[in-house]
Amino acid sequence: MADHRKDVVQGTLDLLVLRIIAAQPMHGWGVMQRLRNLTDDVFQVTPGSLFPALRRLEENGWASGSWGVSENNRKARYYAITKAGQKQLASERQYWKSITTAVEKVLEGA
Amino acid sequence: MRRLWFRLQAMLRRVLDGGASDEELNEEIRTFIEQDTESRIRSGMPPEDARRAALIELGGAEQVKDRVREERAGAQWESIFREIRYALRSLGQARGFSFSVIGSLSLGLAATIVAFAFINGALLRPFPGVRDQDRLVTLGIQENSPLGPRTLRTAMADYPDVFRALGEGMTSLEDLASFTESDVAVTLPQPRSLPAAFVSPNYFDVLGVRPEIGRTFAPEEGRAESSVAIISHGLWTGEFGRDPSVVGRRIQVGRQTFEIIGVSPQGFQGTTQSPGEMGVDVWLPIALVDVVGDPSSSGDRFVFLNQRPGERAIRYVGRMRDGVRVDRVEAELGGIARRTVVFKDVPVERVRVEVSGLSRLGEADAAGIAAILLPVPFLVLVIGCVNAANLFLVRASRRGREIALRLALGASRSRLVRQLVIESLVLALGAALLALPLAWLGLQMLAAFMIPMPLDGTVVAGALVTAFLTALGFGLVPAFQATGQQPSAALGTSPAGSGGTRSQTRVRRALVAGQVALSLGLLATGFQLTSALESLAEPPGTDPDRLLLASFDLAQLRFSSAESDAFYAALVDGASKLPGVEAAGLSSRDLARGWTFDVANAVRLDAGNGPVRGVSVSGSAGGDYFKVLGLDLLRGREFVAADRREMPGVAIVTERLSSQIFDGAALGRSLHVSTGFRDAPEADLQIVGVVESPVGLSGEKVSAIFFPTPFPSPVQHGTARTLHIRSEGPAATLAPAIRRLVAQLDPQVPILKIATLDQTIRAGMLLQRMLARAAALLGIVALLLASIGLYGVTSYSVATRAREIAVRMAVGARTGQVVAMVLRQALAVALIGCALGGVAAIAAGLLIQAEVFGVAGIDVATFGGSVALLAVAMILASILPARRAARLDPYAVLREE
Repeated sequence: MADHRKDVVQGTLDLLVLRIIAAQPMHGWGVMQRLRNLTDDVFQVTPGSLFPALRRLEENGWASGSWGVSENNRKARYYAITKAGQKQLASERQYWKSITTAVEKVLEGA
Repeated sequence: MRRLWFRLQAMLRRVLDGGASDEELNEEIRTFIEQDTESRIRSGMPPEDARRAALIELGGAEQVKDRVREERAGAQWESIFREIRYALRSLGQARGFSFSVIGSLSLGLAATIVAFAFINGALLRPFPGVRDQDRLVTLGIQENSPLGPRTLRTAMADYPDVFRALGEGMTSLEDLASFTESDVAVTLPQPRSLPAAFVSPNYFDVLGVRPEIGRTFAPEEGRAESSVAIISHGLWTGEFGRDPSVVGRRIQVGRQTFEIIGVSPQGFQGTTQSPGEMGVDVWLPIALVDVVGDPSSSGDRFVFLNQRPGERAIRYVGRMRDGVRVDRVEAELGGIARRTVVFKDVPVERVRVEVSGLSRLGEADAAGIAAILLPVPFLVLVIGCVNAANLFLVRASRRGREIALRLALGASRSRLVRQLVIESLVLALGAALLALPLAWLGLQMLAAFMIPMPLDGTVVAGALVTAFLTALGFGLVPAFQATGQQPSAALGTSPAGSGGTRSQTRVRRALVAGQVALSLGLLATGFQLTSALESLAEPPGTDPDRLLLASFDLAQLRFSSAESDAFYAALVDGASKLPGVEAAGLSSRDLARGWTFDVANAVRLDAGNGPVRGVSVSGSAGGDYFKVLGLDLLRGREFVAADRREMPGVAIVTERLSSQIFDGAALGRSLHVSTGFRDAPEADLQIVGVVESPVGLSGEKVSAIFFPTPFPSPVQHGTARTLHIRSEGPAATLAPAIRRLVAQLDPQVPILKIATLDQTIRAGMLLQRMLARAAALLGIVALLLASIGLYGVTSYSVATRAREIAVRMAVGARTGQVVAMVLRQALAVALIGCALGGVAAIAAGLLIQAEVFGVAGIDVATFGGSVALLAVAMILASILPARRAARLDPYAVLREE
């Protein structure tokens, strides 16, 4: 596909997915679409990494999956953020901010 | 902490849910594809293209699933569990395959475990209670005589000098002990005949054996006036209930009273025990051997041609000093033997010495048994492995398509290999679990060898490793073979197209042919042995269960010949008067031993002639001996009381001997009998009677000479006498009455053994019978396995040639032709195996028969029977797939293509 699409920066996929489902419970395909829309198709996430990421979040207790009915009346597995997930999101966000600020400082100040 | 809890919960949930989670994952991925497809259709893509794009987007369902699974809590363990579950399920579907593999491997394993336990117990295990056995040596001194090496025999009068010469001269030894073995009559208070060792006082110290309770012999207790005894742990347990106060108690040995001073440690029964033999139960001072020991016993199981009365085989065992090697001891002993007169009237240059480490391997009998016993389990293990390998190969080829399919769907090679490995391991584990109880059963069967056979941990571990390596080896080769191929290739050339490569097919057939050969080898050998032993167990012309045999050896009690005569006369007389007794007689020959040729004596027409071949010098006959045996007197007379004291004596011969040597006119002629060695008694015997010939083992009439009994005898036939009783009903019921009679006559006389001929023969051949039965049993198992193997290969061949067969049938081949074609191929394999196995069986038959019976011959009937049985099994195994081939619907097969 197009070369402007980038892989999600290593290690940030979990943070992004967590942020997306924090807004509202979402199924796998929805998360993927949302991620594309939000990044204007810059970030490309494949099901091969998305589904493991969802599973990872669930295993860590940050997200919880449950079966629901999609917009098109289809049975789909929805992921919602848990309390622990919100805490994790906040701290990850904090961490990300400090990183980006630091990186920016270097790039600007050099 | 909290995370851990979540992960734990997730893991638990998954374990409890079993496969549910996998189902959910499938569902989730399906949903994804549908959602993606729909969204593309909405944006204007044609439905076909939309679906394909969605699938491309997904990038392989299998890979996604794999990656998700790896994220799971305890993913490693869980995936192993899952694969074990999967393996169990797929093995459960191939039940025949699984059972055959587990069955054949476990049988081979069990056989190997038992064989190793036996070898360990009988040959390798150190003697219990002995300290630093590797520093103990046995000293052998022999005379090179024209009749073969003759072990040093010493008259007890010369023994102290010989022992002193050896003991003082051997500087390489810390200490030297001597012993000689003999059975003794012990009154406990029931009279029993027990194996005893007469030992030098330092015997226990040299071996380093500490008594369980009490003490061992003191240095001064080697003299004849020391009436002290040490008993075995087994005797202490069995006769004295482990009563510690046994020390100090008195027991009667022979006609002398001994004080028990100690009990040997558990398991120690001397250092000469062979499998199937009783170990030493009583230890006595060596100087007493001529007082209470068996006067005829020389410490050997056989009477040797060159043995002179009063000489005993005295054995020497020494403990080497630190750092001394066996060859130095041997050199030193050689020097002493050349300087000192150890053999009376034997030139020193004819003396040769042999020093070897003390071990069970020294007992030739054990080595012989092991030589017979060992190859059989290994054969079964080989069959088991061959069968397993073959089944794995067949299965791998069958699964080629399945594996190719899974590869095409994106499963990784490593995952597939792992799964095949796990399947193999599950099978190996199953085989191992089954092998252990089987091995335990086998060891119970071998309990009759009377040697403890501890199930050694190393042995079990070794066998298990073998199982796993076999399963892994044969499970993995097909795994790589199957996964090494391109999926498209495997899918393209469907299994109906070709039957694998030619070399694969050839290997499979060779494996089956090998199996057929091995199973025929075992089967024919086992059946031949069994039938030969059965004929031994039922001597023609006798009713074995109506003959009761009771053996005595009054020499152990030092009876004078007058006392013996009186005892035996009263015994025969008393026995004939018992109700239910038809006739009673006495002989030095135990009928249970059959009519084998007696090597200790040679029969000549006169002193100048050479010995007459094939004549059984059959010992004495007293009382109604001939009547008991059912042999009629044909000419002349039976023995009378006066015959006993007259030298030269008289003899009765069988009709067969009469016609063989005297053209049927033996009455009044004479024979010369001798042992053929210096100082041996010789006699000219006048023939006073001719009796019917007993029928021997292979149905031949026996040439035999009988002498009057009890004493004296012109030939060597030992001091044991056997009372033969023919009963009206089952003879076993008479045994208690005989025991009472003997106790009345003399409460001190032990009955060495009392049993019907039937029981005696069967007990005497226990070992051979067990071997024969084991071989036959293993042969049947092997036959089953070979049938399964042939069935598998033939089925496989039919499956792979389905298309070819269908084409043949479509162009007009008849059912019979198809069946014939499949059968021809299958039976060709069986035939090759048959030929190889036949040769092996004949060789093994000759070898084993020579070992067990001393004669070799091929029993055509049983051999043919084995071949026939094999042929039936092979035809059955190949006719099933052949019929399946014939029932193929050609149109269905061809349409499938």
